[in-house]
Amino acid sequence: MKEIDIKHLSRLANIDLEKDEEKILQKDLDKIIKHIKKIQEVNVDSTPSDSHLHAVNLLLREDKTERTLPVKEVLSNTQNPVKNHFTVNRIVNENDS
Amino acid sequence: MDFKKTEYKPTIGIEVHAQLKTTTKLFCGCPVEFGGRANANVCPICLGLPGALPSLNKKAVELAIKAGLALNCEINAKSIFARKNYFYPDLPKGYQITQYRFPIASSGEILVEGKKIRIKRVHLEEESAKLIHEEDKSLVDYNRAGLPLIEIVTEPDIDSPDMAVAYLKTLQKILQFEEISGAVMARGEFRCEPNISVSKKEGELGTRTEVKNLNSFRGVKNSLLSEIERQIGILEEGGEVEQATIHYSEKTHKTWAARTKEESSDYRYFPEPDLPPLLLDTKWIEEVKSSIGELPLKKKEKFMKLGLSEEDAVIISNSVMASRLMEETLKIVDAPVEISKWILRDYRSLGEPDIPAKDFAGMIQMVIEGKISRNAGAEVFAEMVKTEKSPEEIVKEKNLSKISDSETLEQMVREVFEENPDESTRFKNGEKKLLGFFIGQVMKKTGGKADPREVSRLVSEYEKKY
Amino acid sequence: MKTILEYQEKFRKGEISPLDLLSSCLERIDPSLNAYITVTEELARKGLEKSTEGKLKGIPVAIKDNINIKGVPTTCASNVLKGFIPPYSATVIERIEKSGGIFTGKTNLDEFGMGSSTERSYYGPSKNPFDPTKVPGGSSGGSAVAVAMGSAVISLGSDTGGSVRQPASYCGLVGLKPTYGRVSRYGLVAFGSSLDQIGIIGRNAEDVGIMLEVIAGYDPKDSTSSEKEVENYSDLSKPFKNIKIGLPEEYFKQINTEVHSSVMKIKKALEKEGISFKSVSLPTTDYIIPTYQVISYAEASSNLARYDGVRYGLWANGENFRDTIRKARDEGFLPEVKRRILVGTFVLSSEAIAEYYERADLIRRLITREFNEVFKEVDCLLTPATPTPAFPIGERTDDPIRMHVPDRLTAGANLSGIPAVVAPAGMIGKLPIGYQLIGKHFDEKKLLSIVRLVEENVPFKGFLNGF
Repeated sequence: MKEIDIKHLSRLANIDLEKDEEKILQKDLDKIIKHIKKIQEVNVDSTPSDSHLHAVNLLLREDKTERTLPVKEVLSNTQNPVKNHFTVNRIVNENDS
Repeated sequence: MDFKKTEYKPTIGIEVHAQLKTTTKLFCGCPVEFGGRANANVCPICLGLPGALPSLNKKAVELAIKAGLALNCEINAKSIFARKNYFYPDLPKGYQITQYRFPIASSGEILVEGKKIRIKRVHLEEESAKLIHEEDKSLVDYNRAGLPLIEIVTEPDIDSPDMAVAYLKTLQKILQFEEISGAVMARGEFRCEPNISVSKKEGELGTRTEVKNLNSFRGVKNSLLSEIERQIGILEEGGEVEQATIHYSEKTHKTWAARTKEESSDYRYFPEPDLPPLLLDTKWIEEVKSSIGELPLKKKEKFMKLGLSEEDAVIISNSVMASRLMEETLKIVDAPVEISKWILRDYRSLGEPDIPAKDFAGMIQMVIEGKISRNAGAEVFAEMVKTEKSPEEIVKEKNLSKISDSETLEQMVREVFEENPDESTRFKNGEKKLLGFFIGQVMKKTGGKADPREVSRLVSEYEKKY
Repeated sequence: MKTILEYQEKFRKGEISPLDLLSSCLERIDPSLNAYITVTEELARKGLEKSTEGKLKGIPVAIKDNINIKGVPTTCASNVLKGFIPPYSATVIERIEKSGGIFTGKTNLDEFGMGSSTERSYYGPSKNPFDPTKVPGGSSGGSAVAVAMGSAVISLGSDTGGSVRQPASYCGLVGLKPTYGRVSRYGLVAFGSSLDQIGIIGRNAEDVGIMLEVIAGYDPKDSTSSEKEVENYSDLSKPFKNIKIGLPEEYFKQINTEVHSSVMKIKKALEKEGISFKSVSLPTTDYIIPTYQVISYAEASSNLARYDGVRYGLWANGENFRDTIRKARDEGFLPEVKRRILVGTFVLSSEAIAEYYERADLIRRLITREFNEVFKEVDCLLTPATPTPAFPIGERTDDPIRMHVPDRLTAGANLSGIPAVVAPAGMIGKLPIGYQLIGKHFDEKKLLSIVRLVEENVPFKGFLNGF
């Protein structure tokens, strides 16, 4: 397994990191991954296959309308709504990872 | 370029996203409404507020099962929801809840123009929000976020753009007929993403590209033809086709390729922890199965109530195309029995062609109003099917308007009487059956453009006068 | 301080009014302990005016600040949720309101529940009321402090790997993590969705049982909640006969000698009551922490993807969309959260997912099976709650590995979905220390009954200020 590529991860997770932050986190992550690697030791062949982790059935909801949030409340937590829409800065490069 | 004349064979697979016909969204009770006020149909769940959790819509599951069955798929008794993780402004949670390794249905097939197209899978997923792009920013409306979709994926069994369109039309009809989805492309209820590659070698597949942004069947056909040409062009020059996303413009009918980035998103799929596995009991699946085709029966009853005979109602309701045309036309012209006559005779004899209800209704309307004769109507219909022109255009071009002004007709009646003195005398002397003869002659003179009843009346009147 | 039933008796007799109780609770808030992020005095007073009848009538409750109360800021102790005011309440909040309970405020936590000391909060660390140089435990430290200092009669926290039980141990309180699915998570800000449960921190088993009766039960809004009927968890007087309790040997390794003896004291007290003990083994215990890390970090990396400032929270200004959200997330998250998101992203990434996430999921099932096997022989397990009493503030803040050490004793219950309760075993010097009972699915009543039995035989003398 290769070393952790922190630049790639920060891209995937969409978190900006400053250079020195990157260095520290690289060290931290390497330490953590080394620790987590312990799980490679376990013999998982004898695992119960397909056992439901938690014994809960997925119950389905009737297709009936429920109360929505008033538009004012929907927009209440955003900085700069325009014409009842949320706004985001322009999007560059569709489907960027 | 006619690719059929080259050695290259296209291989096409299609992904369709169809919006399910439910009252509420997939994971919350917000109403599904087309064109509602922005952000008015939103709640903590579809807005992705901290702490909100999904709750699965029963009707959506039912319709997904129905879609699977209608496409002859295996319905999987256990299916699992998964998170597809990526960032985009139309994705409120930063992930989409979909199905990945364990879809609700798989391994189906349908027949399209005699060819078997295999359906790889059908699965449930939620729709993303709507983005409106302005110059320096984008606006987000979450009304659409969370709408229930099924994704239908074929195996790469389609071998031409025409077949691709035929498949899509067939699929659309099935979804509409079973009321699984409104499947109206213009409303974004039916989105197609074909992928295509070309290859000279039998059994070997070329590199695939994906076509996006398609809004019409014409666009599907044109973009695929264009892409085949482009790929062949590259290969002929000894180059390699690169993975790309092909965009199509409805306005310019042109395609352009955007190279897929090297590190295209790693979606990090994992099972959705907020939703236990979906377990379907066979009883429910059987119930849904028996509801397929239930609609023809309901339609038959409806048509009979409108005045059709049982026999006629049965014929029309048993055909997806015919009953749809019937219903669409009825919205425009309130003449069920008349419409049914045209469907049963002309429409069916021409093999149930694809004709817009608007035009069909237009023609029928003209017949009813007496603007054209019945025969003219049949001619108009045949021409509409052949040329895709509107009935008004055709009537004008072919000068099929009925001669209905009495003066002209009277003149013709007089002429016919004068041209046939013997018959005139016999008619006056009581041979009433000669009425048919005179009507026939007048009709011949008018080139069939007169209303026979009107002619009959005038002939009788004339006889009385003279 | 009194129990819930005692207070309600006093209300009925007219000896004190709910308003009196609320006032004295609020007066006991010691700001230097930094237990609260938001005090909700107005809201509490309004709640009292409604005079709702119910099991929690007039009882002041503190709420961890990752559980939504409509109209009150929810911060999750993070800058990324700056200014966020939820337009809806969590299901548990609605149930408490319907039962007459009132809220003293939103309590401090480790950011998004990620931590075991309540030091990693944007709003600064909370302090242990027994010794303010020590941590109160985490991540539900604020809720524990709120109750320990007498500013609330009972509180709600959340427990993903031990976050309710560990502060209970460090603050001399009873902390319950219910069976997964027992209590609705709707309105709890998600950290590790398959591990999270809203938990209760109170002063005694009966109080905790009353609160559990109020908040437990199926919620259609939470698809992972259970339809199992809610028992009368506060009726703990009937002793269970013939209980056999297991002592898992792995849980007694790597712990402080004094901790060991305090748990043995509890064992002796229970033996006197006719309960028998048996030594058992849970070999997968050593893998609990890394398994917990992989799964919880993976789920967290996905659950925290929604924090981008678009609909709520911190807005940063960038050149374009991606730039903007990356800045917001950089400014919004503290280092520990960033660490966990990045590791979580890694273990789910295509190169690593099979070796890490999928493997951890398999190990989790092994751990669960191991507990299930052991519960064929015994009714529940007795273990230490934490390896040591509260440690000094700052001792482990920057050590991501060391911070997880206590999780070895608690995270197994989260991984397996089984209930666990911590209650005071005694004092070690100035500091309280707890013991833990781990039980079978939905066996909360049995666990609370045993705690009650201990309370009667080994009453805890460590309550602050004679409370």
